[in-house]
Order: sequence, then C-alpha cells, then structure tokens
Amino acid sequence: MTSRTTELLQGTLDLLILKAISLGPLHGYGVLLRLQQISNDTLQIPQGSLYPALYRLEHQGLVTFEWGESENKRQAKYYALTAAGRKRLREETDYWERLSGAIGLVLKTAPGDL
Amino acid sequence: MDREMRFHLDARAADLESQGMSRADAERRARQEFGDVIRWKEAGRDARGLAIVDDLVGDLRYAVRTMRRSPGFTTAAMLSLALGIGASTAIFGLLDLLLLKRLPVRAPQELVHVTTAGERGDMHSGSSNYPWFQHVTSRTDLFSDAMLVRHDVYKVSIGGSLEPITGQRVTTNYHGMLGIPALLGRTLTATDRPEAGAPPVAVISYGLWQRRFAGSLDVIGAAITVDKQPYTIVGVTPPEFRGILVGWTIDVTMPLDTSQFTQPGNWSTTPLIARLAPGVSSELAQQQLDPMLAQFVDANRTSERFRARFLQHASVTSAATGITDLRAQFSTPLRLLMIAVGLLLLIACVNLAGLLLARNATRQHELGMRLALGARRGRIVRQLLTESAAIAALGSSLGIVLAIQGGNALVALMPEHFGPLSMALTADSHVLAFALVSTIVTILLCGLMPAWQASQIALLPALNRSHSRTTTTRMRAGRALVVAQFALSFVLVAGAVLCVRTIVNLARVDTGFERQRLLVVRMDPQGTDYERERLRTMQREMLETLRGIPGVPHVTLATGTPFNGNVDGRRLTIPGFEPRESDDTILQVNLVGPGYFDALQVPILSGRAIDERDGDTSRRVAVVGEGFALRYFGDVSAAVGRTFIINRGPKPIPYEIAGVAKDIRYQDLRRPSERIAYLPWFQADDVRLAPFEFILRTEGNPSNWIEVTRNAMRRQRPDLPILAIQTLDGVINERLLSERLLAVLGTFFAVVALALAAVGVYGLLAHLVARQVPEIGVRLALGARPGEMVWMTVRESLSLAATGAGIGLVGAAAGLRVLEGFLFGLSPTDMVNFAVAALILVLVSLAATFVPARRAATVDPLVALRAE
Repeated sequence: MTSRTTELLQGTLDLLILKAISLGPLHGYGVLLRLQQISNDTLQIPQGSLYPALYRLEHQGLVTFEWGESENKRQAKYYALTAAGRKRLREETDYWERLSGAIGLVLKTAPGDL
Repeated sequence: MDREMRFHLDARAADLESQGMSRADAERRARQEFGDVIRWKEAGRDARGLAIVDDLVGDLRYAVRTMRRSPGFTTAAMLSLALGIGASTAIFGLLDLLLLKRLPVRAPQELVHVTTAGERGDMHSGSSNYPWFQHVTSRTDLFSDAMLVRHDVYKVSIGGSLEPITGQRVTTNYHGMLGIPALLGRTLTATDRPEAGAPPVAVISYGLWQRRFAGSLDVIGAAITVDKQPYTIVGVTPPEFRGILVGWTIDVTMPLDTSQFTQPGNWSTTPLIARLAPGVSSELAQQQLDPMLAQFVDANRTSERFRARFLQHASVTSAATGITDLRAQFSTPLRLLMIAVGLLLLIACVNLAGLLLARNATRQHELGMRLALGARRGRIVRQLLTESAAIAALGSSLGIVLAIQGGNALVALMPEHFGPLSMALTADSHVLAFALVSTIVTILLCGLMPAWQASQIALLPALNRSHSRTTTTRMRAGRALVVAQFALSFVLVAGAVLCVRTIVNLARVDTGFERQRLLVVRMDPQGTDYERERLRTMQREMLETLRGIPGVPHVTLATGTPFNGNVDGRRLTIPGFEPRESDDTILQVNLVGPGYFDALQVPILSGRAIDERDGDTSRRVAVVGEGFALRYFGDVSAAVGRTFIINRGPKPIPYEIAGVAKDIRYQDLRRPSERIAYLPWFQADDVRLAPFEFILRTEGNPSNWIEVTRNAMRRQRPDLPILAIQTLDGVINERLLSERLLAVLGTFFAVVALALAAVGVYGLLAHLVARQVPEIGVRLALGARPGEMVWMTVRESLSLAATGAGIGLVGAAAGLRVLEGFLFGLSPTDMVNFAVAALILVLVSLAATFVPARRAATVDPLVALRAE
C-alpha cells in the first residue's frame, strides 16, 4: 500500500455504508468499491468488517436485502435502505457535520484567536 | 453468509486479476484484504442475533459429550423419565379415548345429550319419548336439530346365517345432523320415515361391509333380515365413523319408528341428542331446560308419581365425545390412575433433579473453573438447562414408545363383551401433546433448581475443592429430594397395597354359590322364530340335550344368572304385612328352572327347592331369599308356607313360599342381594322373550366344555340365537375389571416409584460415601472398624426412608380417602397397610444402600489418606 490511507474512526463504518447504499442498491463488494471510489481510495476499510456491519444494520431494520444477479451473472445479495435507514442516515449525517465542524473549528484555532 | 463472502472474495480476485495479477496471487491477495473469514462470520452471526443458536448448538454438543462421559447417570436419568412420561402418557391416552376424544362428526362441540332425572337426582339418563323429543325440536331458539338414537343387539341374518350384531334405530335426520356422508350409496333421509310407510332400509358400517360383503359394490340393494324383518341396504358409512357410542361399533343403522312411543307416559331408553343452535351455550340451554320440562309435563298431564321419579329435572351434557356407559364405569378408576401417574411423574422429576444435583456437585470444580475464566452465571445456567433438556428429550421419546405399547396393552385389558373392540390407541395429537407438555414441565422442574444452585457456587472454595458451606446446603437439598421421593412413593405403595388387598378380598368373598365350575350359555330369542310354545319346546329339549353331555351333572336355566342376566323388579304385597317404607313393595324376581339350586350349590335353609314338580298345572310356589324371609316374616322357618302376591297386569298372582334359600350375591360382589324371590320357570304364565341363560355345572374346568356345548346345541338346532358361552368365573372377573385395572396398574406404578426412589437414594449415598472417603480413611486409620462405617451409611439411608415414610404417612392418610368407595373390607387408613408400605420402603432403601455401604467398608485407609 503505497498510497496514503486513513483508518476509519470507530462507529463511522455504519454511516458510510448507509450513505453508499443510499445512492442505489448494492451488494457487499459493491459497497466496498463505492466507498473506495467516493473517498478516492483514502479510506482503509477492513473488507471483512463490512459484513458484520451489514448484518447489524439489517438486524436493526435499517437496510433490507434481496437476492439478485450481479454484473458477472452470479447470485449476490443486494442491500437497499429502508425508510428507517434513510432517517438514520439523515440524523447521523447532521450529527457528523456538527461534530466534524466543531472539531475542525477547534483544531483550526490559532493561538491569537482567543 | 457463506455465499455472500465467497462472492466478495471471487469478485475482488477477479478485479485484481484484471489489473494484471496472476489468478493465484489475486486470490491470495483478496483473502488477505478481507481478513479472517471465520472471525468475520462469527462477528456477522453475532450482529444478526444468531449468537443464541450458536451457543445452543455448542451447549448441545457439550451436553452430549458430558452424557457420554457418564453413561450410568444418563441411563438412570433417561429411564426414570421414560418410565414417568411413558406411564402417564399411556394412561392419558386411555382417558383421552374414553373421555376426551371428539367424535368424527361435524361440529361435535355443539352436540349435547339431553337427559331427565327424578327428584332423587338419579339420572334416568337414556330416556325420552317422542312428544318430548318434538318439544325439544320445536325450540329452535335453543337447538338447531335433535335426534333419537336407540342402540341394541339385533339378530341379523345375512345370506342365511344368523349373527348378533350391534345396531341402532335412529330418527332419519341422524346422518344429516351429524354431517356423515355415505361412502357408498346414500344415508338415511326424511323419505325413509317408517311412520309414513316407507320401505324398510338400513345403512351399514364400513366394518360390516368389509366383513360380510367383502367390500363388494353389490351391497347396495342387498337384502338382510334384522330381527326377522327384511331390510334393504341403501348405503355404507365411512370407516372412521363408528356411531356415537364410545366403545361400540354400530354396524347397522335403521330408521326408528317413532309412532311406537308417542304416549306421554311411555318413556323408553332412547338417548336424545341435540345440536345447540348457533351462539347458544350449553349453560343457556341448561337454564331453559327445567322450565321447558315443567311446561311439557304440565301440558301432557303426566302423573305426579312418574313426574317425581323421572321428570323433575332436565339437563344437557356435552356429547362432543360421544355417549357411553363405559365412561361412567371406568372414569373413577382412570382418574385415580391419573393421580397415581401424576405422582409418578413427580417422582421421576424429583429423581432427575436429585441426580442432576448430585452430579453438578461433582462438577463444581469444572463449573468453578469456567466461572473463573469469565463465564457469566446466566450462561452456565443455560448450559445446564440445555443438558437436562437433552436428557428429557431422549427420555420422553423413549417414554412415548413405551406409552404406545403400554397403552395398547391397557386397551386390551378392557372388557371384551363389547364385541370387536373398536378402540385403538395411536400416537394421536392429544397423546403427543400431553407427552410434550409433561416433558416441558419436567425439564423446567428438574433443570431449573440444580442449574440455579450450581450457578451459586462460591468461586474460591470450589476451585480449592474444599467442603464449603455451599456443598453442605447442596447435600441438604439432595437429602430433601430423596425424602420427597420416599414420601411420594409411600403414598403410591400404600395405595397399591390397598388396591391389591381389595382385589384379594373380593376374590375371597363368599358369593353364596360355587362359582368355579359353572358354564353360562346366554341366549336371546328376541327377533327370532323362537316364540311361545316353540320357545318352551326348545328350552325343554335343550335341557335334555345338555344333560346328555358327559361330565355335566347339572343343567338348568334362569333369567338371571348371578352377575349376568336380568333380575326383574316387581310390585309386591304380603297379606298381613303393612309396608313401612316405599321400598317394602319392591321385589326382585328371578325365573329359574328345576335344579337351579343344585347347579349353583346354593343351600336351601328351610323347605324345598324348585324342581320338576313345579309346572304349568301345579300350585304356584316360590323360593325366597333369606333376606326376604327375615324382612317380612322375621324368621327363616316362619316364611315357609306363607303367601305373597305379585301385582302385575290386571290380576294379582299369589305365590306360596315353598322354601328359603341362602342369599347370594347377584349384581354386586360387595353386597348380598336384598330381597329376591325365585319363581319356577315353567310356571310363568307369560312366555318371556327376554334373554335367558342355560347354566351347566361341569366336573372340571368349565372352559373345556365350551366347544362341546356349542356343538351339541348347534347340532340339535342350527338356528339357535346363542349370544355367548362363558364361564361364570370369567363373567365375575370381568365385573372386577376396574378393580383389577387399579390393582395391576397401581402395583406397577408402585414398583416403578420404588425403583426410582431406590435409584435416588443410591445416587445420594454413593455420592456421600465418595465425598466421605478421606474422612472414612482417617477414621479407619485411627482404629474404627469397617462395620461402623457400614452402619454410618445404613443409618443415613434408614433415616431418609423413615423421614420419607413419616411424611408419606400423613399424605397417604389424607390422600388415600379418594379410594374409599373403591375398597372392600378395608379402610383407606388401615394401619396394617401403612405398616406394610413402610416395611417395603425400608427394604428398598436397604437394598439401595448395599453398594455404597460396601464401598464405605472397603475404603483403604492408605489410599484415602494419600488422596487427601
């Protein structure tokens, strides 16, 4: 791995998955590809960890799935957001923006600002 | 999950491959990036909430491993459960068959049996008459439909051969009301009403169709004779429908001619079955019935006396499970058995709990270790519960197999005179549901307590293997369980001893006649060509024929053989005797042929017996029973020569008392018949068409004469209506069926309970001794004799048995009262009985102590001390 990558913050994987799926139903591998694509390969996601996360979201009723055919003609499980999932995504996004805004603000503070 | 992850790996590998990597490298790389597949799977399962299932599988595997490691414990536990559940399920199956199984008809829960009763509350149950039936039918607000069902044994002739067949006459709405379709042809319809002059038709059962017509389609339109009347068969009913009388298979169904009993005072034994109207509860119908009956009785100007005796109350009882006398006859013993079975199941549970407890005690170290390694207590409880569940599942499966075998054996014990037995016990849903429920209850009862106790382990002492305080409480709980087992066993044993002694007492009862060597030929001339003079001739001729059989010193005939036929009631007046109570005017009458008293070996106390002299033309005489003589004349010898008058028909008939016979037991082994008069058979002015019996005294075992007798009679007259040929002893034993059932099964239960208790006490003592080995070693090393060590063990066992018996005694003294009406010559709190039960308990506990005691005696002090 030559490129500069960033480890995921604890608890953010769920949010990222919800976001990835919100753009259209995806299978697990597709989620990975999309996340890498949107983050320009800067996020390092332990690939296997996607699945426990997906099952967790499914268990919480945030995503549903159905079996469909993949690009290479194989059966794959496609995940899609439920209404609850969309709501949670909105909330989490709001929260994340407020949090990261606040953290950014704190970090950007120069000695003279106070 | 598997598939999904494989897809991911493959897809990733394919992508990497397309980026120029070799296939093998791509696959390796994909796997690397993914991480530990198994770990992610586990995490995935957890996320999905499947952890419980996984744990369960693990627990089960662990349980199986533990069970295999201790086969003795597993076998004991499984067997005790199998016996407990097997026995209870078998009894339940039988109860179910008799009491609970619904008829295979449309909406059986709506069917009710409408009965009437007199003021004394005694059910005149089967009775009804046509106007009352019409009255009930007219109440469409309560009943949507109603029918009359009269069953009987008919002499049916098919293709020339006569056979007694159970059949019924019903109102023509019978099949329609029950929703029974015809398998073949048609069922009865309103056009078959005999009152309207319809040609006589019959619908036969599947069984009769198979048996007598070999399942041929030609059966429709075939002619049969039922009691000499020709009938045409119009239909066959489906195999599962056997009529609505439990224990009987109704083979032929014909329309009932209701014009026979339209008179208001003419009530006959014909059950009235109604279907509740939609939305009407049986309580509502019940509330309406008494006023309905009162209104009906008023409208029909029924006599006050008749009303008081039979028509005071009307009630509905559910007929959803059919109607039966069998139920009344056996419901008490079966319920008692059910109680016994409940106790047994409880003992099995206690036993299992004790076994688990003892075993968990030995597993303390292991459990302590697991706790120390961070296992949650809830998790350990769950695992122990899984273990007991596994044992329970295995034990109860075995139990169900036992139940079906045992249940069919029980059904086979039921009396045979119901013709082909139409009850078969199979593993139907009721029985299985019962087994399931008892299993679940057992698991919870047996599993929870030991599991909870085990989870209360104090960590350090457990790991240190020291005898901590908790161990002592556990042993105390173990002792309590063994005491409970002994107490429950005591109740069962005491009950069983009572039942067995009752049977012995009943078998020893002096019936007043010699019963070992009598053969009874039951005849029924109704519905045959034997009438009036022809019947008389046949009877005289048969007496001669039977006398000709070698080895038969006495032959006679009677309307009522003891425990067999009918003893009629008659109204009686005695000149010079003022009736003190209404009972005083009722007499039981038995018509007997010459030689009756010789054949039965009933002593004549005074005067003479009925003999050949007493015929048509001679003076009317009677022999009366001792009770009769004492009641009306105060003395046996004073009765001879006196006269009594039987009021029957328009002309009262006086009889002179020629002799007094010793009283014998007629219908009930427990009580002698009260007032009986024997009238000479060939003097009776009405030639009775009722069933009667020929009685033969034989020189050896009477069953050896059954075939000879049948052949001799058939040779003489092939068309004789013989119902059955039985030994009188057999008939009496059949009467004792419920007593025998209780005695045999009660003993069985008691033995099983004792075996379970023995296993329990053995388990506990073996465990105690094992724990005391170091102590025993020290004592022996310090000079104690092995005998003292044995006594220590025995003392423990005896004190448990004694405590159990003491508690059981209190329970039995209170609980065994349920047996009161059933016992004979005994009281439920009979002291001898309790002593016997206590003795048995002590013996069993001693037997169970043998092995642990020997173990205690043979402890090698050196080995024991070294282990310490």
